[in-house]
Amino acid sequence: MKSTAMRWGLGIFCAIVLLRLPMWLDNQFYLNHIISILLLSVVVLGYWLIHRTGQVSFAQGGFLMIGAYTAAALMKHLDFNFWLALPLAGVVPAVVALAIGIPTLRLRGAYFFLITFAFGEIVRHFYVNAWDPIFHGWLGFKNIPGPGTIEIPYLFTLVFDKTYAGNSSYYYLVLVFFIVTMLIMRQIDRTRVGKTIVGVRDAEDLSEAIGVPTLRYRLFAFVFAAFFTGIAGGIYASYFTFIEPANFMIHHSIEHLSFLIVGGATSVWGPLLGTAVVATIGEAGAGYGLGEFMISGFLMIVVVLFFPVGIVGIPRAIKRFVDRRRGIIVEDEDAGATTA
Amino acid sequence: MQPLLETRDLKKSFGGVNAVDGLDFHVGEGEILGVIGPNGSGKTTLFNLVTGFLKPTAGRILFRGADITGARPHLIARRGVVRTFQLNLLFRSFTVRDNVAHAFQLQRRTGPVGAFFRPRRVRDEESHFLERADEVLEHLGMTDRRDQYARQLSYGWQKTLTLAIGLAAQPKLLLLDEPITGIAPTRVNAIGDLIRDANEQGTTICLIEHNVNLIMGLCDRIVALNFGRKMADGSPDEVAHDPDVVQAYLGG
Repeated sequence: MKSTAMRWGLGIFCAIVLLRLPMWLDNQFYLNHIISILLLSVVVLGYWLIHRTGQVSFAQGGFLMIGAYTAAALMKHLDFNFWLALPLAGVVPAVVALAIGIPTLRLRGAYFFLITFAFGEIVRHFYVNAWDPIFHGWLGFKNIPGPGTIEIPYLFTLVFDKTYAGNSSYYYLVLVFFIVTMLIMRQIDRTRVGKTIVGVRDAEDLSEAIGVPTLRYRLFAFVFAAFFTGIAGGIYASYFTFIEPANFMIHHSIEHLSFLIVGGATSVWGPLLGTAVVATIGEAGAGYGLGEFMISGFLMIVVVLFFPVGIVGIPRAIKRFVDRRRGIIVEDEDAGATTA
Repeated sequence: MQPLLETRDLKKSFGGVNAVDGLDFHVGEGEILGVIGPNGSGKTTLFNLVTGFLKPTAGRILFRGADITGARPHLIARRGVVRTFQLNLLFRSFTVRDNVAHAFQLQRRTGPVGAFFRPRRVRDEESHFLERADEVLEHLGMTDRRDQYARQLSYGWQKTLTLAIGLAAQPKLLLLDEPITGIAPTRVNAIGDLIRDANEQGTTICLIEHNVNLIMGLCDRIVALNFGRKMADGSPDEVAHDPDVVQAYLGG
């Protein structure tokens, strides 16, 4: 009873903080940073879901790009409405993921990794070189439209423009998208589907031997991750109004993976934590002339050396340490597990 | 006895080596069949072929009269052929109890979409499987280890757990690859009893084992392999006194 009340209290507190955040911040730079974190967290959740099946995908940068370019091309060339273009920004990468997943997900370990790595590069080269009148080569898209105005009478009006209020509207949009993605991923993780996925990672052959269609589960994770990553790309295009191939270079993918490694893959909170911590430290360090990639690389080394489960594992590691001091030995799921 | 599983002229070659070389082999419905033979005689390769983990170079595999040659492992499992592995392949990050509960895949009546929304029917099924997992674990004397993680168990208990997973899957045909290797000698007979119990409840069993005492006492029939071919096939007594088997495997 008490814990239920505490939960509700905490929930309401968080809701108020999240809703009022743009008013309190009143700072374009910080708001932009938070929007980036939430949007990137969705991308990293995609890495996380695929990682749960025991694979490392480098194709997510490619899916992000396909999502962003799909949304931009549909809105700019075919005058699609934002709300119509956005689902398609998810569906197109998902279909591509299905097509490349079927032949490649049978491959294990480094082979799948290498093929997805190559795929990310192919996607970028495709948009740079193919159909210049549509994708404009290295120039990309400018003035990508947004959702316009959402008005719910007597409740709120959200205007999506380039003012601070407009960015606040984007903040709410991204927040809702992030929360929905997070809830779905969490639900997958805590039900039988997530259990089966981890089972595929732990022992693929044993899973097959007891009747689990392992390829189908891997494919599901890959396609699902591509869908959410693509939608994130669509929102990204509309929020920044300007996209070009240079936004989707391979080092961005490496950085996204470092968010997962630093955050930790054992919990659904890892992606958010890792993204928030690394991106914030990276942004802060940029003021001192430190490249953000230097910082993410350094943090990745530190975390892998000292917290192999990532920073989501730190509270539990502390608890274990205290318990051991008291002479209680409790093993939990994290022990002996690693992110990478 | 009508054969439950049958292989016809089954061949598997790795490069120039014929691991299984034209094998006609069958498992009768309801029996306990032992497969023996020296290392490299093709026993595990035979299991891999039958369960779809390897594709045969030539020949056919029939299960209850249906051709299952080259089918994917999970589809063969769905037909009722489940195997265990020589190495302790387990869901290492699951508890012992979850390992066993996870093995009820074949008896599930709810799909993955249902699992996502977890309506009452799915929750009932899940708790039902957990209860049944507890029964299996009690039968194997592992109740007190129920909440440990699989990777924390000693080698012998991990081996026992692989057997628990195989039994929980309730297949028509259970293929056991060295089920007692590494198990404490004092528990070998208990494992033998478990295998016999499962057989009496209707599971046909085919096992590879190097423990001659166990296999002689347990099996209705024994097939001895050498160089991927059948060296002997018959009752334990016949095989034990077959001169080829004595020379190649048992020792004189």
